[in-house]
Amino acid sequence: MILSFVLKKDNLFFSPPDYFPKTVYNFEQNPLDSNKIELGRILFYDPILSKDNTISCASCHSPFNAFAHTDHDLSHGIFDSIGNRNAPALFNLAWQKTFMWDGAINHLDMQALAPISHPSEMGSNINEVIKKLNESKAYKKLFLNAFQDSTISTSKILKALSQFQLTLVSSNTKYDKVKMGKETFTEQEKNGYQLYKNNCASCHSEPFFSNYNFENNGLPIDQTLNDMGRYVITQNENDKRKFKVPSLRNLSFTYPYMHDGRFMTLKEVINHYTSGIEYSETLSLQFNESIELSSNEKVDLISFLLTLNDKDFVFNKKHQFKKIADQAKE
Amino acid sequence: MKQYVLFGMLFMTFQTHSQNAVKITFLPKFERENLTLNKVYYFKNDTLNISNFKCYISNLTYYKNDSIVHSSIKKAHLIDATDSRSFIIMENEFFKFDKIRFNIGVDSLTNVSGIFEGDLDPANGMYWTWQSGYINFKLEGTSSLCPARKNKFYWHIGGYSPPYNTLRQVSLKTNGKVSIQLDKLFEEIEISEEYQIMSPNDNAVQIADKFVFLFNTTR
Repeated sequence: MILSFVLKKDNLFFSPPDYFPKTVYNFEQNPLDSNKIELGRILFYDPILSKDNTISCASCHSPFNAFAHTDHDLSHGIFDSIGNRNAPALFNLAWQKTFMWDGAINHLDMQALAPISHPSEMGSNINEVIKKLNESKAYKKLFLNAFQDSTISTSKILKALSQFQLTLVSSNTKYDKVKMGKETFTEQEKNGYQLYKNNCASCHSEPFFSNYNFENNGLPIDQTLNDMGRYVITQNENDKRKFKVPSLRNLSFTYPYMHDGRFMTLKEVINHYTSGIEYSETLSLQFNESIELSSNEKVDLISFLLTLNDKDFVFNKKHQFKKIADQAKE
Repeated sequence: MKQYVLFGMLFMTFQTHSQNAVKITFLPKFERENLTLNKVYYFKNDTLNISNFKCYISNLTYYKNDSIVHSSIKKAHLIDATDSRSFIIMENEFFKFDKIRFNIGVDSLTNVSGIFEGDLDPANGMYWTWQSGYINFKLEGTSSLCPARKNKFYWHIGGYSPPYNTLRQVSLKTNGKVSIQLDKLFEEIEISEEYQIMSPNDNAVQIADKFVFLFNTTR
């Protein structure tokens, strides 16, 4: 009874299609609430989270790029410092067990602590953030509205940020509409879908177009970064050069591609899979058989991949910038 | 009449006192003394001081004649050498016990269950932000044997998943007073070699293996 009530309430803000599986995120620990979502949204766009008030979450996770960072192979933070990975897109986070390219973060609630504290991202720390937020009457009011308590704490900040990010669901692509019987694929897209199923689906599996596992997709190591991916976290030799499989949804909005943003175009990505795979001990078994695609097939595959763009998601006003003053006039 | 009332009140006070809620005191010590932060200790052939000591005690369970009589309601308790109030774990009820069992550190389930408040708040400085997970045990200071800059050593011992699980369990016969004998770590660990441990790895596991020897019943 209680559970069905909770789910029903969540549906107001969170209503994925029924072919999406059960979420990994436990909404019972942090039930969605409009005030909390709005607070999370304001925090997401507020540079107050960074040491010198210059960088917000949205600086590297822009709504118009499906919350990725277009034009930057590697993301940059305060003092124009440059990180060592490409900012990943943010959507369908409720179904993900780990976060970051190497899975360093084990829970959505804990995710924001990493960029807040990272010296080349926001360069701050949670205590500093709490102190700054506490000095703002407007924020005190927002926290009071959201949590019935104006005491600002780590838990409240992180839960609000999670709430906003949980509402970032991408499920209205042409692919989704076809799946729901509302639209049909063109012949070219149909052909591309089949090519996708034969060559890409074992890692980029439906409906998220990622299995959210860690794989080595045969990228030659960039000697300037020497990034060993998942191995950095687990120290397990078998994890060397493995990175979290990114979703193929919203591809047109999230270039450049790969963990280090080395490819600018989808064509480069596909050419990597057909002719650029580098063998190493941990290479995913899927590449034991090489991927062969004619140039026509590549075009067909791309036409299918473009059906995974979700314009409704990318241009959803509810996900866009909101200034604190708009919300809470003193 | 007044006297009887007074006597009665005294008796009641005495009653509640003897029925007082159970508490366990964890006292950080260095050799025979209570630990004093930033005090210079001359220990064996080393000159050292401790500037920071924090550790988690979790899943505290009380036994009497080898059967469980109480499990602490508090999931995890943070001991912090800067705050002597943190040395005491209070239970809200009275019961008799002769043995306790607890974990040093935060268990894996808690580590993967998102954000918590109070002692488990990441703002306490016992959480790794770049790689999810609690620091189970933190000891910092200087040692004349430590080759690092300004002789500083950092032991941030954490890691919740194999092979780098640093959670350790302790069982102790006790009446409620436990000492944490920090000097023993310096006996067990070659500080000239292991002086900077700040992520889950083999060295962290080796240090975690010594934790059980630090916790003793105070006589």
